[in-house]
Amino acid sequence: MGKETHSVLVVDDDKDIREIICDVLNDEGYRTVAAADGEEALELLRHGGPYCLVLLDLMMPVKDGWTFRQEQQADPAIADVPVFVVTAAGSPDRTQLGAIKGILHKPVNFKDLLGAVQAFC
Amino acid sequence: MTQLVSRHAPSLLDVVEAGRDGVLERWVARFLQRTGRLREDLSPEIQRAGAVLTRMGAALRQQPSAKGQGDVDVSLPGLALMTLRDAVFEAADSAGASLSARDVMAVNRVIDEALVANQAPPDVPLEQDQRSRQQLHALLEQLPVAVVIVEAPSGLVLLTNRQSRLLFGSRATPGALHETLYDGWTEGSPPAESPKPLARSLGTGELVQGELIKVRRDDGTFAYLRANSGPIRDGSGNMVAAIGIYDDVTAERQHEDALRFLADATALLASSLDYETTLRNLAGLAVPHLADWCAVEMAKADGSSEQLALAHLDPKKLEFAEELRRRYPPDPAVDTGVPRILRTGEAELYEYIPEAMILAAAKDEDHLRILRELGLRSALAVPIRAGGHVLGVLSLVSDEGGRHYSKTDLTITQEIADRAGQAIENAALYRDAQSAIRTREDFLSVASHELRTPLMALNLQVSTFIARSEAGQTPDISLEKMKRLYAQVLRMTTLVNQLLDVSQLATGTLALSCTNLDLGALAKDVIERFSDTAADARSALSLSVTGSTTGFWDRGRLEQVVTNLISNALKYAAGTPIAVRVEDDGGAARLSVADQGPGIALVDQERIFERFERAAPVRSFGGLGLGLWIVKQIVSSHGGSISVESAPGEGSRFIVQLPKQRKTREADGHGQRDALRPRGR
Repeated sequence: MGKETHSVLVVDDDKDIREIICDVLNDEGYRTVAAADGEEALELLRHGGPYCLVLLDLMMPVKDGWTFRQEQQADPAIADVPVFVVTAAGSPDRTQLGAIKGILHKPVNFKDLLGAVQAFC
Repeated sequence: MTQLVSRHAPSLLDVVEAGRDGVLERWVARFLQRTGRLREDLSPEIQRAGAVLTRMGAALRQQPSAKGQGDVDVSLPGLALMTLRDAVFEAADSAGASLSARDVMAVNRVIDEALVANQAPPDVPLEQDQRSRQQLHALLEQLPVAVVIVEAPSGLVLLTNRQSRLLFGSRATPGALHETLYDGWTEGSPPAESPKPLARSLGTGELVQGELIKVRRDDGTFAYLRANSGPIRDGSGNMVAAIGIYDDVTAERQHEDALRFLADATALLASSLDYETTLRNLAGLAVPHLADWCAVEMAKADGSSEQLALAHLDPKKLEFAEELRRRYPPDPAVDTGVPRILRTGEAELYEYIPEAMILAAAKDEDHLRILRELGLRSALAVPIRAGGHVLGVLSLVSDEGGRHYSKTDLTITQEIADRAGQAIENAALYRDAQSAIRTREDFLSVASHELRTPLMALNLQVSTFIARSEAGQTPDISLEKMKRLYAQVLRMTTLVNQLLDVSQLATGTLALSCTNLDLGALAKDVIERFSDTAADARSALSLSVTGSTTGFWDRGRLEQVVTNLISNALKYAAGTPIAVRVEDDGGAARLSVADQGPGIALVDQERIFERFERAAPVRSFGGLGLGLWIVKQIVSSHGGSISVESAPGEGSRFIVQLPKQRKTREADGHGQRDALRPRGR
């Protein structure tokens, strides 16, 4: 699993945030794919990839981050893709999130974001 | 005629004097029967009974000196004297004698005097003895407590006074058995296990002091008596009688009960903010000390009432009452009782429930029968008030407990109801305060989330720039990236402005700077700014303007109105076409923004214009929950209105109606700032 073969899936309903995260990671040599909600993200996980990491926002329309995690964990084909939560919520409810790799609290800075991605990609 | 009567009908004197031996014989037979003694042993008593009859004769002849025959021994047991009196009246009856009231009183007086004489020390001079007896009689009659003296060991009542006759009625008669004096028992003990105080004194010589007994009066109501009793002994220490003294403490006891209820109720009301449970417990507290029935009825919005609590000691009676209420539900239109109190807030007191009231309340024969069976005696009902409104009614009713409510009871019960009202009001204030705190916390959480999003974009861009510069790399500072950064700055500015608006509007003022402007043109400008966002949301944004849409408005504020409505539509109805229309409506301009999104349920349609409210779940959609509230405040400040037409699954249409000229001109029309109090807040 490496940055040459695998992509980072960036899931956030805010277009500006998606674009900036993707830009920063692309400049560091990572491949990125963006999704605007949990539904799109599940679709991409199942039919795209391979992915080394999902950067997951929680509060999103259509399908939120918690629901995304429940469906991801229920689907053996995609359950193992590591997930890092990136959220503006102060203390998000972790009970429904399952085994995530960590949480980045918005506003996230460059070093923290890069550190999280480097650990998995 | 008088002579005829006197010839054919003997007088009581005739019977006593002429038929003396017959009377004595009759007495001996009865007395032996009652005591089980032998005739041979009775000669001294027969002699003394004869002496009593001699006195009786003198009394019937109205000789004042009748009592002065002190040398004659009349010391007979009380039972013997009572039996002698019975024998005299029986003999008179069988002789067909005419009995005048005066004659009957004379006989009774002699017997009473003999009873008292038997208790007097034998060596007291006659004059003094007579005086003492008169004084004792006067004292007993005037005493504010009931006094009963019974003979030992027979238990026959020898002497009563005025208070005892008032308290025990016809049963307080000399010669009666003291056991039948009253039906009652010691408070706090089962009736069967508490012999009456007087019986205990009589049986064992016990001295009873201040024992509280509960007795049933002739009319079925209860009285509380403070009882004292003890033995009366002769010179040799033998018990010859027992005395019982009874103080009627019913009123005092009822007042104590009421005060205890007030204290307990106050503690109860202060103990919890859950007023429904509290009021149920309150009803339980009133029963049985203050009432046999206690009900709490709460007013409903439609003018009717609902029974929150009903208490009675007997569960069967409760079931009965519930069944009664099901069969004959209360009529909210009646002009008495709970419905009237709910309307007027005036308390009602029925010291006695009149038959007419039961007749008026009965809806049919069966109902009347049931109401009569309930045996309701007295009732009072008071309003439970808070903040100038009648919230409910607290009712107390007595049935077999026999209490009759007084104005004092009404005052105390009203005091409890007022405290209950205060408790309900406090609970409501507490709930409101809790809700306000929750709303504020939710809002702070949402506001923090909203501010973090643009801050995240800025932070990431700037920290990347710094990290790369420090690493000796050339950071990308293209115009495109700078524009993106700037967009985040604008986004934060908008959020901060909204927060400032909240603060300004919360204090009740919104500064307007009005000029003549065209709403159609303004809408066109705003829509152009949304072209990129609309494209991202895959929504087609259209505008149609008809007629003259120029008015005297605040440009910045109206831009905010159009912006908030369009950005809401793009947020909640992304992917559907959004149609903005600006139309001339005579003296007003109408702006509408329609989408084909998920729509808003009817229950949410009012709420969405409130501060910090939203119809969509916060997990799915960001935003401060302020947009529509701010729109409403701005529109109201311009004298206009906003409404929504929507149904789930059928999209939403927000309609803003803005008068072209404000009715009250407060600005000079050249952009001078003025302040208006927003309506509806």
